[in-house]
Amino acid sequence: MKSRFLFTHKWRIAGYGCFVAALVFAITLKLLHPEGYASVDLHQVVPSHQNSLNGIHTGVMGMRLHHDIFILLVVSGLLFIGFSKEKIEDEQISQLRLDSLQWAVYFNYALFIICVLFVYGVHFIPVLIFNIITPLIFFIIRFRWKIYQLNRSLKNN
Amino acid sequence: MKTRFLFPYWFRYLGIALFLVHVPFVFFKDTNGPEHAQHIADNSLFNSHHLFFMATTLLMAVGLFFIAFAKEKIEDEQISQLRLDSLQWAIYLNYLLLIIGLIFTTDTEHILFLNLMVPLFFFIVRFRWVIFRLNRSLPREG
Repeated sequence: MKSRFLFTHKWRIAGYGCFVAALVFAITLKLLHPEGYASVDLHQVVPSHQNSLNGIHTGVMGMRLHHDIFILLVVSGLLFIGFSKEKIEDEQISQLRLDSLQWAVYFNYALFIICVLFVYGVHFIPVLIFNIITPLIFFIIRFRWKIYQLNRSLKNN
Repeated sequence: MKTRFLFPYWFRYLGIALFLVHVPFVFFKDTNGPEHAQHIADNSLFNSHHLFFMATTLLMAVGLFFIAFAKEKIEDEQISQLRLDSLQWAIYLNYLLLIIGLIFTTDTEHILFLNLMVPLFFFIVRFRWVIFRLNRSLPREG
């Protein structure tokens, strides 16, 4: 079996780089605007007839840009880490990868269903936002864990 | 390779049924849906809006989930390979669309809601399409 659609191994480093960039970005933003954009929001947001989230985003351009850059950095970082090739890419590894991906999708939807049952209204928006990155995070954790187990069992043998 | 974590074959029809049940609900969404519920003071669990929201979202998510991860009638190694390949492809496409959506639109809330069903939807479409191509190529060889 050939593993398709994968980044080369060095993209993993680029992925971690994206994370560091996101972290630096967040820290500098916190230093420049210690109270965040929250205080600006209260004055500038025109109460939107449609929904409150749109109001926040159209109200403050800087806030919107900041969110976009942050999400882009985190998502592309996670994608690079999750879908870059291993140093030694054999059939078992790619099998583990796809298995983990399926498991992550399952786990994510299970959590999502629980959230639908017990979270509602304005509080549901953070759930939706986290739902963007959680499948990738579960996938990476589970994939790394499986590879760790595999390495350990090989050593023991 | 063994295929793990899959539902039996008949779950596919159950999934289609659940998804079809969910469709008429969506037509009421404009007047009754979760987007408008934010303006209602009653934010407690299990009021009528929450029940409506639960019903639509759960029917949709569970229905798509059953369709996507039910076993095929004949489940061999090639099929399960195609399935996992399609899943990876769907995740890629989903994140691509998500990024494009976040950059070029301001309607974040709808993007987030779409993000829930789009990966499964792409996965189902792509998986069916690959199986269709496989079936068409087989008689020619044989």
